[in-house]
Amino acid sequence: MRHLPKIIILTLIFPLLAGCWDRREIEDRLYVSAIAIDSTEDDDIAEISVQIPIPNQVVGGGGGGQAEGGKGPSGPFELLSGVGKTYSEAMHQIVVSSNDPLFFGNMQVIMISEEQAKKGIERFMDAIKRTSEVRRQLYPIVVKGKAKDALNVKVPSEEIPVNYIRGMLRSGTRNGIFADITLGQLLIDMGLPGCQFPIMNYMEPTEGGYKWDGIAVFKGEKMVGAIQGREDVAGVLQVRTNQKGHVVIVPRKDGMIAFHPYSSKRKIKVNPDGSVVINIGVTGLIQEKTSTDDLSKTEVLQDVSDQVSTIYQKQMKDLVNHSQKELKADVFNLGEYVRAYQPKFYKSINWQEDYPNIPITTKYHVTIHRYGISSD
Amino acid sequence: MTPNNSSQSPQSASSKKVDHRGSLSSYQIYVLIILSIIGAPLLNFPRFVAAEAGADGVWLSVISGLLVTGFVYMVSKLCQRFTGQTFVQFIPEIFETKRMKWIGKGIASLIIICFALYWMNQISFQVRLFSEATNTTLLPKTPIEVTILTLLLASTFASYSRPAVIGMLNEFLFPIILLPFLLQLYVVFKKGEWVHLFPLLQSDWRGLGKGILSNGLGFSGFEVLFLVMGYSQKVEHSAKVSAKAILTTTVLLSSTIIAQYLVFGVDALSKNLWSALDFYKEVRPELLVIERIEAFVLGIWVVIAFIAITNLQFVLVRTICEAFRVKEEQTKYVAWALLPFFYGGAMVSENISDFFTKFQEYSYIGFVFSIVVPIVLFLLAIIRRKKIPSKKKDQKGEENHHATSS
Repeated sequence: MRHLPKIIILTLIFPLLAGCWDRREIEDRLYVSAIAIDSTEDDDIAEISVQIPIPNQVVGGGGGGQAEGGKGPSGPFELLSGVGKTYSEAMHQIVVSSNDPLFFGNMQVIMISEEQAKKGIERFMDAIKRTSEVRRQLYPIVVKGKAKDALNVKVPSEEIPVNYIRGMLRSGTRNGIFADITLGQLLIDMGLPGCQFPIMNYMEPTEGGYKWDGIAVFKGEKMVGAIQGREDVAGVLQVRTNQKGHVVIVPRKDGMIAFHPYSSKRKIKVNPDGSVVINIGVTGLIQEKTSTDDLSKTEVLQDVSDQVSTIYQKQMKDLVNHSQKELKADVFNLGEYVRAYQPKFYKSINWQEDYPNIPITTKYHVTIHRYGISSD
Repeated sequence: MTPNNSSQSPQSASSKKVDHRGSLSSYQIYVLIILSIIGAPLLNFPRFVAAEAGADGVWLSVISGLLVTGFVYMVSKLCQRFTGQTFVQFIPEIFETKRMKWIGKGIASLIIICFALYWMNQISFQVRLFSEATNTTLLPKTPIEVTILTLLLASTFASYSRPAVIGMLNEFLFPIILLPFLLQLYVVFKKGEWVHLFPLLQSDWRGLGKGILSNGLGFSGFEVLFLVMGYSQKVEHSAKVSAKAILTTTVLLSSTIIAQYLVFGVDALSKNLWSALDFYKEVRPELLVIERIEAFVLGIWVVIAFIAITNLQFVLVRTICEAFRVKEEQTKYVAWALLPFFYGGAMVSENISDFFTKFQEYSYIGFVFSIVVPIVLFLLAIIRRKKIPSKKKDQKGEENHHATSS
């Protein structure tokens, strides 16, 4: 009886335990796996679509059997769309047409159509970043054509197409080929005053799958172009996100040697006059050889390294020219370095306008660590 | 339990008061100071530093920490002059004169009331801050009143424990709260960029001063040592212990600020209201079993917020009990009686903007007060040669020794 008051107090506390209000049964939620943002004829109005997997229609989900795929009650997912001047307005239309509340915590991909990306993305990003449910690890991408249609592509190996895209993006970024741009990184880039040119992966829906088309380049919130060549993208990513780079084929006297990079490290130096020097150290291995070169000799390896450096350097020079003369966009995010290391110079110019006139020098240092299990 | 919890000095026996002198070991005091400082505000503190101090906030956080360390060392020296006494007991001694003892009591009452109000504000604000964070990020449909009340009920229940129990609670929880600080190294390793820390030294003198002061706010809560020093087992070590505690806190606070600057950059950070949680969302852990480390971190933040609020409530309750000579068994009534005030204080602000404005204003006022008052007390104690006579000190030390060994 001595503890009775305590027991009464504890019993009274139980109903107050936080969390009860937010308790939702797993089947009482609609799990959004991806959203697509499309433009409409009216520049102020956008169409937003959400992809919702239907668990009992997915193989192993309790429904039994292979589903037809695609939109509709018989498919493994449902597409709901809404239009509005704002993200919230369009989302409201979706919410009122769905039977359960939407849950964005499992969302994997945000697809933005190229057309809408060219009109601007900030208003959508603002709404998304305010939603705490949304993971910062999801992938925002730009897609060629209508983003809603990209959500409806039938992929033979996956019932939910967004799982295919996610897998593709994840392995592509791990391999250092795709840009490692998550929502968190995009929001950071958009928040950095010196980084006025965010980038995103650029993809195209094809028959039975998706094709990676390089990276979409933004000036502020609007897409201004894309970098599509494999070598060009690798060069951008080497500088921007320290990604490893691409395979280089070195022509030799009687054949060729393939150099495969596995890591790269860049150092960016900004001089007081604003000129930028980018030093990139690339380490890799010889993956293939058809020439008669004896790789066990140090001078041969050095010669190959020099050739790889020269090839990288030439490609990078062309890329810098392309970014300054044609795109007029700082795809390397050098503005952030100029702002950080030469703030006086940065304040004296308008980086967006003056970027094409900035002298940029690149230097490569290639190290070949090994050449496989063959001794020569 | 520390053996001397129920020991009673001859003086306290007459007033039927339990003597808690010698209740806390040096390590417990060290941990208690750290955990009283690192509370819910750290969820938002790096953003506040970025907004107030700009890029220079990174190194100014270290400077502030070193200044506070020096200051706390001085405060501890002040407490050492009055071995076995809490500030409630020694402040009147500093001010009183032989003829007019009421002057000492009058001024002391004023100072103690100010400290009590400051702590009440801090408790209310911390509870509200933590509830806002959980409601925004985790429990959007749960009424904020519920999260506030749940946290307050739990902390109030713990706050009227004896000092030795509070010491052990802090000691037990300390290793757990270090986990987010270790995890942030992983996040920095994966996502940090040195370039985000620059350009440094862009502030003028005024900006630097503002930066140091705003960083100093991160150390609010160190005032608990005014009281806990009175419960120390080894008062002669207290200055070193408290300085070490502040240095450790500096490392924890500065590393958090630097880590978030490295990942977000100063501009993105200053716009992110709950940067501490978004920070952990930036990575997908490869080695950990859990997929979303922010949920795990928020779980630990519940512990951090709870223990900081409990410590502040404990100090406040003990201060009131000592000031009004409340009996030990009635301490709990004081603790429960204060709960509506904390709740009311937490609910005063209508919206989050109003809350942050008030939080900053009161924190600045309270921080300046808790810096200025001890300096005045320290100088007066030296000038007026106020300290417990060595005989009395020895006698008390002996009592403590007996109490501990029993």
